Amino acid sequence: MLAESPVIVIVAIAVYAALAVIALRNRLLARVAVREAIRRPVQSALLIAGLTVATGAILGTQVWSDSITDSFIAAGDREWGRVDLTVSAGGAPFSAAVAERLAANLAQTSSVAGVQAGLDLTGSVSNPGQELNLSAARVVGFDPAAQRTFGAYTLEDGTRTYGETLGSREVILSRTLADAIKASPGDHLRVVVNGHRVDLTVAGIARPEGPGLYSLRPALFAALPTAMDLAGSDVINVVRIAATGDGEAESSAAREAAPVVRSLLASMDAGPALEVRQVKAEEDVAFTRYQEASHGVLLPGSFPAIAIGSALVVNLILSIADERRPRLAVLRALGLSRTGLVKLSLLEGGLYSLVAALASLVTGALIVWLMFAYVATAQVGDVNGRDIDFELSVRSRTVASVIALGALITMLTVLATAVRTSRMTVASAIRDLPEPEPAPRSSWLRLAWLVMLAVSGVLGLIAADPRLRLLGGCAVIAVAAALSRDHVSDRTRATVGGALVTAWGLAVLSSYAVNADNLAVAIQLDLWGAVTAVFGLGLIVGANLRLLEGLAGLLGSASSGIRATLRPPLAYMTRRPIRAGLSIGVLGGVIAFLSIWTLLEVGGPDYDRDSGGFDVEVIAAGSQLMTLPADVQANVIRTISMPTRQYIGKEQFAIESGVVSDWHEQVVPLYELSDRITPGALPPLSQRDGRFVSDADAFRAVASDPTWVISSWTGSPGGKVSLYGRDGPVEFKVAGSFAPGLLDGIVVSPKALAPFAGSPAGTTILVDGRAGVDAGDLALDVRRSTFSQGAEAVTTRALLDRGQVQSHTWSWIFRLLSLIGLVAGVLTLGILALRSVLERRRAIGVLRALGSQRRSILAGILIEALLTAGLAIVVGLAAGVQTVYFFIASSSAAGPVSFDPRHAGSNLATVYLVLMAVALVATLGPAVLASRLTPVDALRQVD
Amino acid sequence: MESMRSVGVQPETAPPANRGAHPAVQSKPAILSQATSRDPMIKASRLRKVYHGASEVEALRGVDLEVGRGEMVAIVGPSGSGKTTLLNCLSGLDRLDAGSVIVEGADLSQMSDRERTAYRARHMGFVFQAFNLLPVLTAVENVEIPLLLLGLSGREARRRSLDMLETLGLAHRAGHRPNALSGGEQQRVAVARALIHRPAVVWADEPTGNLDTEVSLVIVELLRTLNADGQTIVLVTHNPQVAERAGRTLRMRDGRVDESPSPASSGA
Repeated sequence: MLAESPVIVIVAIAVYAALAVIALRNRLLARVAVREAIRRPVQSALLIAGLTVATGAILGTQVWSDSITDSFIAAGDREWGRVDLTVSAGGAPFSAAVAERLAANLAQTSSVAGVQAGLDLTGSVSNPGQELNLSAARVVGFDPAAQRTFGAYTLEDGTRTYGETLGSREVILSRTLADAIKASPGDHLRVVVNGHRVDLTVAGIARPEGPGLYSLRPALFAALPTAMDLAGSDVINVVRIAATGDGEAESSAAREAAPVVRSLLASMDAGPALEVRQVKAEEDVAFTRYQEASHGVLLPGSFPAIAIGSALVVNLILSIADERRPRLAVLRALGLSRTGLVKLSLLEGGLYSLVAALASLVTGALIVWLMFAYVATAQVGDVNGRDIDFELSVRSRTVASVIALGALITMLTVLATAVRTSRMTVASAIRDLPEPEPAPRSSWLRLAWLVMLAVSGVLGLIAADPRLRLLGGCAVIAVAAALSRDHVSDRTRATVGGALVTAWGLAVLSSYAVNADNLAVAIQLDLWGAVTAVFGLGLIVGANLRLLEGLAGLLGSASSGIRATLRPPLAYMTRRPIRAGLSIGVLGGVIAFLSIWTLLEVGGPDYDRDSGGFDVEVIAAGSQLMTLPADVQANVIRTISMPTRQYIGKEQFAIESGVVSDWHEQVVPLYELSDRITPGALPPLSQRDGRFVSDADAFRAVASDPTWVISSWTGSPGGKVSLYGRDGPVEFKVAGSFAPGLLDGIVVSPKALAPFAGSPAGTTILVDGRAGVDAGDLALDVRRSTFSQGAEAVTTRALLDRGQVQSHTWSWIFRLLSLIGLVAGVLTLGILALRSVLERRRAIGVLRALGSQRRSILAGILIEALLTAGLAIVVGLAAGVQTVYFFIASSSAAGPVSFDPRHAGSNLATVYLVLMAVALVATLGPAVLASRLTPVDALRQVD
Repeated sequence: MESMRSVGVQPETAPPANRGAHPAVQSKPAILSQATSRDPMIKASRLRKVYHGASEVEALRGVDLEVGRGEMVAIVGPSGSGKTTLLNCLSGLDRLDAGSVIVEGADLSQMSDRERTAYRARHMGFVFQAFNLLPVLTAVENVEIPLLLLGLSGREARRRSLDMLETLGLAHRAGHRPNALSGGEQQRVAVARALIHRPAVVWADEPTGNLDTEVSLVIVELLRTLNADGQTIVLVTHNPQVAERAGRTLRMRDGRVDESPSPASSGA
């Protein structure tokens, strides 16, 4: 984790301890520092509020990340309850005698608390009383005699049961299933599993705790005999084993028991390839890996917020240093040493950073709240069908580390600024005059630094990794620019240097050949390229701000009033290129990332194209409904029926770049691509492996080669997906995928489906309604007419919308992170404007005395801020477009990438307009303040 | 208060080429009366200024004074006597609590902030103790500010400013920024800025306060030369050497003016 390091906390404590010692040994300095801090309470409060933004942004993202991790780990625990190990064969049935023999043999094993025979099935559950049904509900068969070890079901009325009181054909429903079909105790249900239809009675609704949460999906809990009735056989398909102990002891016992169970199974002749899985541990690892992958994506996403927050700290501290300069000069004149001055600044900065670090708990909490609000809206809680509660997880270690990090960033900035201020020319500073031009001097330190940079640069250039080549080239360019200091003007150096950095970035990006093995590196390179582009373009813009004065001159020739108004603010911008360039560069960086997320934001699905013209998807998880009833057929043009198996078991996938997920429990619909289905009849693929020139090609490969599949579930074209079949793991190559939401599973050939023949059978039907027939009405008609078979009919539009939820959530999260950065950026503009007013107070007074009207002063400050924002937009847009271009080029290696330039363009235009408007509002306050300064007040020494 | 006699030198107050371009001076405010060469350049009556803070301080207590055209008047007095406050009120930089100030026939006390600002741009020049040049502008750019504010074209403003700097012996420093100029050079640039638009009055607040004796004398001689050419100058100073070079000295004490003839005026 970025900030979860005790070292940071220890360093921060050491820094504050050192400051305490300095304060105790220099009482006068401490007193002056405190007085300075409280002299202008409003200014100090503003400063502290600004300092909290960076820490708050880091804290927000870290807490959010921790919350996801802990929520997933907790979900893994809840999903399995007391079940630590399972014995199964990818859903294939086997004899209940296996469970009996395991129970007998493991009875004396200290690491095993209990063994239970079970059935894990999927079926349709209907509530005729409410005319509601749910296809693909989980059916959990358990052995009441062995349930004690696995915990009691606590029903809504408070009674606890191990299932021994359940009558024949009585079942317990999970809360989520009961809610979905509005079932109550006593209701009669119709359940269809694998073609067997059984009527059941609801004995109770389980509270969402203990075994009542098993599978974290809408579930029906039935005693084993009832479950066997549903399955239509007297076999089982899972043995559940509970380890002894809790927490770490439980994990340890499970690890210990697994090999014992495996050796017992090896000694039995149990039929299909039975596998022992440490399911809870698998889930922990899978969720942790998932979270780590998310965190890797989140970090670049939170970069803008962190970068701009840090820049805000630098700006604030610089503005305070500028404001203090004359008073500090007086102290220097009175005999305070340079070291003493640095100590004084550190003491004052220490007070601010300490208060700001504590106050950032509020901003951090606000950011976390915003993120959670977005997540709740986007329903990310539904992870692969599981109902996962996202819970706030505030780890004290994370909070302490982030607060310490924020304080250290502030203190480092204060130190650097104080050292710079301490080099003041006292005579100039006392009168608040600019520093005289420094005499050029050579430095061994500078030379050593340049040599080190040059060597690193050359090493980077010859490296195979393109990221190192990118950095290496930039380092060499920096060295060349530094060496040419005395030979060319600063403007030329910066312009040429910036152009070279930008060009080098483009050269590295365009020359990097992206293939199936290096996609992840290519995408990272794109992001690094964005940073170098912002840096290079920022340098060019910063060095050539003078061109603005030329433009202003042209405007001035049309109106001398404009020239008089523009002259001072433009001069301040253009003749302090480092300061202006830094502001433009940092804000440009944030805008670049915001542009990237905005450009890549998933637009709405193309319903007509993505659905292939089908209006309704009918899912009959428990029955083989191959045709629709006659009364519905009248409104239908065509249908495609696909036999479907509901695979329940472990799954693993690998994406094209080679990143492999861990085995984890999944419920995956497997659609059979039978010979009767012509490839062109199915909806078009939204992504396709580069090896296939057309969708038909990909479908043909799936039909003829059992190793190819179409997977809209996990994995992506070019990647692989593995399931556990009757005889062991089966690996498939992903040829393509449908638009997310449609046929949300894996399309396989009949031959490829064979190892999963033990999984419950059902049907999926795509329905194309007649012209003029409303898809919603058609879905309702289908649902009514197939109700008895537990089928569920959903419009393809609704499915495609559902498929976008996760993408939209990530888009929202990135946008939120960028917006946090943008808010900090706009605050920076406001603070820069305020800083301008404080710093230029005397200059404003002179202008007012000489006859400049208030509106000119107001316009000047606003124009400067808007120009900064405008130039940052130019830099950010250029870098963002470059990144998106190369990102799409890279991603295209994995199949066609949907990108709607019109949608992206209008999104960007909106974002930029909002940015300019907000920048205007943020600057308005300081600008009005400046315009209201009377010449006398502005010219008077305010100290 | 005894009325001041005019020294009889008419300063050049001709407007810059396109003076009408400045919106604030396009229409003459009603409060402007027709001034003649016989009228005093500045006439202040019963000026009163109170600063409200923890305790009220009456900085000006009913000051009356007149300054004739082409006069060079030095205001002296101990710290806190109200010198700078008087200068600020006379020049329209600060508002009055009571009384009136008429500069070249225009009653500043009746003007709005916008009108006073426009009037300053048109008729007044300022020289400050701390030079107050804009640090990001070069010497010539600093000098041309008043002309740009009055609506002169950029080309014309630049030409006149360079001429003015040449007159003051600073042509070779025109492209330098203030931090590359000496104190004396900075103050000469400030003087150039104060004169570039040929104002009716130049106000100078401790113009030599930040300069050493030698450079101070150069600046004072420069002001005297300008005054000799008819420029009305009112300056505040602590420096007796500067004060004695003025045509007339006004001594301030406790917010009141106590006029004492200087050798220069008595000898006139």
